[in-house]
This record gives sequence, C-alpha cells and structure tokens, in this order.
Amino acid sequence: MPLIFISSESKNSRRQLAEDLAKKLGYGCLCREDLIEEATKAGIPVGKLEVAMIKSPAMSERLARQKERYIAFITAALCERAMEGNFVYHGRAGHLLLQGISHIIKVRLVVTQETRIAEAMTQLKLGRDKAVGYVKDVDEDIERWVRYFYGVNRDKPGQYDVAVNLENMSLSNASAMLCYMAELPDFRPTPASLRALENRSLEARARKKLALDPQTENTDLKVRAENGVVTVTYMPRQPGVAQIIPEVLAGLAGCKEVMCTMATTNILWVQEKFDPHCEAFHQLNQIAQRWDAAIELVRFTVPPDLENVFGGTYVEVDQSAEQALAGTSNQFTAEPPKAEYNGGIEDDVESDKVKDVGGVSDTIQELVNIGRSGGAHTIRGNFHTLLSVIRGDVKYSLIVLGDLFLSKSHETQVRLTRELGGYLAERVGVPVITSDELQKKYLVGKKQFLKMLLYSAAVAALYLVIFFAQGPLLPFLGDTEHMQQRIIRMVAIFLFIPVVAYLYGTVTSLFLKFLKFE
Amino acid sequence: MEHVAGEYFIHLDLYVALQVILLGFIGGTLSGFIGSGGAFFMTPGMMNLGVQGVVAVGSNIAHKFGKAMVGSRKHGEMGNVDKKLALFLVLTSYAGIWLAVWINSKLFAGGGGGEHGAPKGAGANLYISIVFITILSVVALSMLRDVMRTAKDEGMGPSRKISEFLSRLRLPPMIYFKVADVKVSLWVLMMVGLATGYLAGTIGVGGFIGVPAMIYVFGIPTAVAAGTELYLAMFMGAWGAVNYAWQGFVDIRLTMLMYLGSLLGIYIGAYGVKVVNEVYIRLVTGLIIIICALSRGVAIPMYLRQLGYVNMDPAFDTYFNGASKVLLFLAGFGGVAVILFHVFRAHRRRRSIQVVMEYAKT
Repeated sequence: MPLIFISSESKNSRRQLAEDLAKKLGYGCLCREDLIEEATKAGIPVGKLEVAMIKSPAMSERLARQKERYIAFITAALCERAMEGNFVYHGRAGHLLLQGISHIIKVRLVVTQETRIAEAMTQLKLGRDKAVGYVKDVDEDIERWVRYFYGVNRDKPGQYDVAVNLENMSLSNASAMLCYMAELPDFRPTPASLRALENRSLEARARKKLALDPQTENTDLKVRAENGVVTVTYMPRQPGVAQIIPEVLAGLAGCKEVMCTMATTNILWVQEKFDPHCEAFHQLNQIAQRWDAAIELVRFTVPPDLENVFGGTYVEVDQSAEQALAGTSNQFTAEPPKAEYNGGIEDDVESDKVKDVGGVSDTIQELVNIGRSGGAHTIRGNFHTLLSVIRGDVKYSLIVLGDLFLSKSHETQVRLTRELGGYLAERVGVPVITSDELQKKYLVGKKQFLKMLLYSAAVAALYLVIFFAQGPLLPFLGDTEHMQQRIIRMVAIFLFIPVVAYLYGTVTSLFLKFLKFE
Repeated sequence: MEHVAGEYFIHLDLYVALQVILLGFIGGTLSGFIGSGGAFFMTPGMMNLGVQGVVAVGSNIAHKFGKAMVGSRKHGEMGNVDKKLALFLVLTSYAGIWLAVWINSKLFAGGGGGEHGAPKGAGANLYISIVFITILSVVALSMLRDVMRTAKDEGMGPSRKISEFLSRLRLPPMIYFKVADVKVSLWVLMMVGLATGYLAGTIGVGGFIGVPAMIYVFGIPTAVAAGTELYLAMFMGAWGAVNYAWQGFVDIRLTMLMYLGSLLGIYIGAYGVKVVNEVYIRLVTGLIIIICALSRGVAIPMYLRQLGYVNMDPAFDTYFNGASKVLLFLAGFGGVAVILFHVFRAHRRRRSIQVVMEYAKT
C-alpha cells in the first residue's frame, strides 16, 4: 500500500483529513509539527531558520548549512517511519521531501478562503479584518518558505498526484476518495520505488550523521546514495574533510562504500551507451578538472513504442549506480539479485561477472579512479522522467547530451537530441550542449589557438593605433565646442569599447584555458 | 601630474601606463572576488595618479560598460538574468546617472579653477571623495559587523530590519518578474533604480546598492541578482559612458589600459571565491573597502585647501596625496596578495591530487 502525503496551508483541515484517512486505512498519522518538535529537540533552530528564510532569502553559508541539516533530519525521520510501516503525513510541502518515489500519493488539499478566515476568527479570537490579514500573511509566508526552501512554486499542479478542493466536497468524501485511490495498482510499491526510498533514506541518514558530527558539522557537503554507495562531494576550500568523512560514516546501516569527490559543481552527462575510452569522456574529464566538478552519469533510453517523448505517462525509472563497486546488478529486473557486497573483489569465474549494460559501471569506475565521480543513474522513459533525476539541490553547471535515441534513424536522433536539449535548458536553467560541441565551446585546441592569435593581433593593432595617435586623439576626446565632434565621439566610444572588451576578454579567457586555469 | 589637451587628460608615459594596468588588475581581482565592480578601487587609484575625479569616473564607467557586456553573456546562458526587471530598473537608473553626471559636470566647471593654486575640478574631486567615503564606510562596516556576529554565533546573517520594512511595502502597482519569481512595487523599483544609477554615475559602483537591494528588498535569489545587476550595469555603463563622452570626460586610453589588467584579474578573483570560505571573503573585503575609504579620507584636506576652505601650505598636497596613494595600494596589494595566496595554494593542491590520482591509476 502507498504512503499518503497531504499538503495544505490549512492546518485544521489537513489534520482532520489525515486522521480520518489514517483511521480508514489503518495507517499511522504523522504531521509537520511532530517532526519540527523532534528537529528542535535535536538542536536544529527550526523557528529561527524559518524566520530567516521567510523574511529574507539571501542565503549565507551558515543558513544554507542549517537548511541542509533540517532537510536531512526531516527526510531521515520520514524515511525511518516509512521503513516501519505505512502512514499518512500532513504538512505544508512534505511532498517535496521525497520526490521520485512512485508509491507516495501526493495530495494538494485546497480549502476555501472563507473557511480559513472563520477558523482564524474562532481559534485566535480575531475580528474579521484581522483574520483576513492573518490568513494572507500565513499564505505569503508559506509561499516564500516553499519557494526558498525547495525552489518551486507550490501551486504548480505537476508536483501533485491529485488536488482535492473542499469547496464542493465534504472532508469525509474526500477521505473516501483517497482511500479508493490508495487501492489503485499505480501507487503500489514496486522494487524500483522501494529501492529509491532506501536510497533516499541512506542519503538522509548519511547527511544527518555528517551534520551532527562535530568534525563535519561546519562543512559544505552534498550527499547522494545509490545502492549502498554513498557519494559525498566537498568543496575545494575544505580539503581535509575527505579523510574525516569515511570515519564519520563508518558503521552507518546500509552503507557499503563511501566515496569522496572534491567538487564545487556537477556536470550531468546523458547518454545511451558509455565508454570510458571515448573522446567525450576525455574532454569532459578535462573540463571537470578545470572547474573542480564531479561528473554525474545518466544512462537514458527511450522505449521504442513510446508515443510522446516529452511527458505524460510515467514509464519506468530504474536507478542503478556504481555496480562495479557494489558488485551487484539490477538493470531492468523486477527483483534485484541479492548479491553479497564484496568490496569490489570479484571471483575469477567469468559467469559470476556482472554484465555492464550501457558501459555505466566501467565509466563510473574510471571516474572514481580519477576522483570525479558524481554518481550514476539508469533511466528509461520520456523527457519528463529524465527531468525527475535532475534534483534542485544539486548545483549543475553543464548538461552534456551524448549519443542518444540510438534505435532511431540519424535524422530522428539529431532532432530528438535537439528537442531534449531545448526541453532541459528551459526547465533546468543551465547550458545544455551536445558532446560534439565540447571541444568548440569549452576546450582549447588548434582552432582556439589560432583564434587567440588572431584576436591578439587585432587587440595589439587597436592598442597601437590608440597610443600612437594620442596627439590628434586627445583634443578629439576633450573637445566640448563642436557639436559634430561630440556626437561622433559619443558614437565612437559607444561602438569601440565593447569591441575592445570582447576581443581582449576572449584572448584572456582562451589564454587561461590554455593554462588550465578557469 | 602634467595635464595635456583640454587641461584634464593626463600625460601617459610607460610608468603611469603600468600603474593604470596594475590598478586594473587589482580592481579586477577584487571585483571577481567580491562579486561587485572594482571601481571602488580603480577610481580613487586613478585620482591618486593625478587623473581628474570626473575623468576617472567617466573612464571607469566606460570600462564597466564593456566588462559588464562580456560578463552578462555568461550569466544569461545560466538563466540568471531577469531582463524585465533590468528594463524597469534601467529606466530610472538613467535618471540617476543623468543627475550624477550633471552634478559632477557642474562641480567640475565651478570648483577650483586656479584659485589657491587649485587645479580645475577640485570641487568635483571633493564631492566624489565624500560620496566614496560615505558609501564605502557603510558597506565595509556592515560587512565587518556581519563577520563579528557570525564569529559570535549571533543570528543567521546580515541585519535585515530596513529590508524587511521595505519588502513589506506593497504600494500598488505591483509588478511580477517571471525569472526572479517575485512581485515588487513599482515605486520601490524606481527608488532602487534611481539610487543605483546615481551611485554608478557618481562613483562607478552602482552594484553596491543594486545587488543587496535585489536580494534583501526584492527577495531575488543571489545568482539572479548578480546576473541581473551585471545586465543592468551594461546599460548603465553604456548610458554613463555616452553621457560622460558627451561632456568630454572619457579618457579611452585609461579605459583600455584598465582592461589589460582587469579582465585577467576577474578570472583570478572569481577562482578565489571557490577556495576561500564566505566569512573570510567578507572579512578581507570589509578590510579592503575600509582602507580604501580611509585612503580617500586622507586626500580630503588637499581638496579643501585647493577650494580655499583650509589654510595650508600647498607643498603638503604631495604628502596627503602620497599617503592616500600608499593606503590605497596597501589595501589593493594586501587584498590581492591574500587572494593570490589562496588561489595558487588551491591550484597547487589540485595539481598534487591529480598527480596522486595518476600515480594510483598506473
């Protein structure tokens, strides 16, 4: 049976609905206020954090750490409860904490403004005008909290499975409808969704452990977990933490391996088949070294019978990562084999060796060797499914689309890749390029060297002209008597300055790229 | 300093040219590190080299125009530019720039002019210096106070009393900005645009007002605020450059020499941000800015004497100017040395990690 997460700004209504629903389904019931109490007891200043986030969103390092800590705590608590049994959760935006898990029904509960005003008048003993102002303020605060905390607009319908409007429906009928919905096969737990929940649980527990340990509490870490392998990325300014992280995470239940990667940002590489010896890998590695970036792999395939590549029906998500390290295989299988963790030591017997579908294992192993691994996923579905793997809390700087849609004709491949690029660029807000463009846009070769020489010559010529012509130039620059001179000077400066900045800026940028300093 | 052609353009020899390039490099490095324009260092630096304040501002704003154009393109690619917001701000900022240019030109024409041995433009120099000191002191003291509060573990960040008040002001009409995802009152927008333009036109550092206002008053994410400000700076720079060019106060030679240093420095400063923690960045920035303000303060008696407000031997001008120059370069060199130290240490560490990785592979 699925878990049910109800989000609403009306505390009363969401509580009533959740409790009724939990009673009907025989579930436990959990609310935001319980979790906040637990978090506060654990030393997270939730009230202070909430005020700071709502009042002004400028994120200091300290505030960002507290936010990460809070999210890790709440997510870990939710995952722990989910492992114990089913429950109904109600809060403001709980649906955003465990995204991408298909056996959670995400409900948006809409309550009329009048009901909320009446509630405020009764509970807080306010006059109507004050109650109206109070409800408006609460709405704005919740809106800000969700926007700054999760980076989304809570009114976007795509993030919920269902919206229940209580204007024309009773609470009891809404509850009955959700009971029926919970019986639907679409929301039953699948091996993939349970694995995704396990991953999120491990990730949150690892983050929580790091946040609570005095050695790592003041560091900026990003944690991802896939199949027992925890990948922790840390900032270049905190290099000493790499040795401490494995010590802190030692003994964490479910953690088979800890990998630490120094990175300030992630590069997402989407491709159908990976090969650690290909040119794109070599080029991406060069860029990642310059940017202090981790490379995150996504093996993305589209089912041949898929009609709408952009969105619509959720097809299938199977996440697998670092199988080479974990020594397990779960590619597209209903039940993943329960192989024992072997620390990466394989038997000599060939038949036991896992088949590396799509080259993900070999490529991720190579990235681990060079200290650039940002984890890996295998996705099968449409563009929307792919988008679900791109998380808002990870700072991406570049998305690279490699060879995709291999079962289609060349023309279709080109078209679909272009459409996917546009789709992702619009939604993620980072540059999206194809692997063919890497050299041209981000690397330096013969062409870039020639360009640098050419631009340098142009810059030198411009500087020589200006500095050898100072005699006639200065009276022209300082003349205030002739209208014509003044107009020409204005236009000349307006046109000349950007040209110099562009030419010399390009020369400098290329020169530093040659020095691998970016 | 010898002035040529139209009285107020300095004579450029190799020594002076190298100093301007160095100013550009230090300004660019600080700019990349702090995330705001480096004009707070370059403008007074040029004034110390004998450039008229109004020419230093004019040449700097022209420098800002080209630099912002190159930078905003990268921010645009990352989706960090709200063009609609920039458009609203730019309209009022033009009024602010126009006002600043008008005041500077009037003071330049009126102040000094030969009495008391004063070079022309002493009035404008004094005015620019006072605005500089006021703004830089407020910014630096706020930064240093934040650092102290963080060190004492008080609060979560900068004080937000004023911004909270302004952000609660919901004077209609409210305008929605899609990229930044905020609603802002037109009147607040106009106020911020005017102040940003005025400061950009007067001292060339509109970003000191624009970015914090966008973050704290409008509630815009930091990356979008920085990208939008840079986009706005491109238009403000263009408008300022054109206005100052009309008045004959843009020395294109200085602008070009500054580019030689600044465009290189920006990359180094920006790299520094990746390898230095935020509190340390604020501390270094605060100290640099406060010393820059102090440096301008030391030059004030010289302008007061030139305007006849203070009786002092003109021979002292050299000492005041020298002391001001020493303080400014101390701030610049000190700041850049700290940044370069961290940048090269991180670069070397990164290389050694790569060597270890390569060794492990083989």
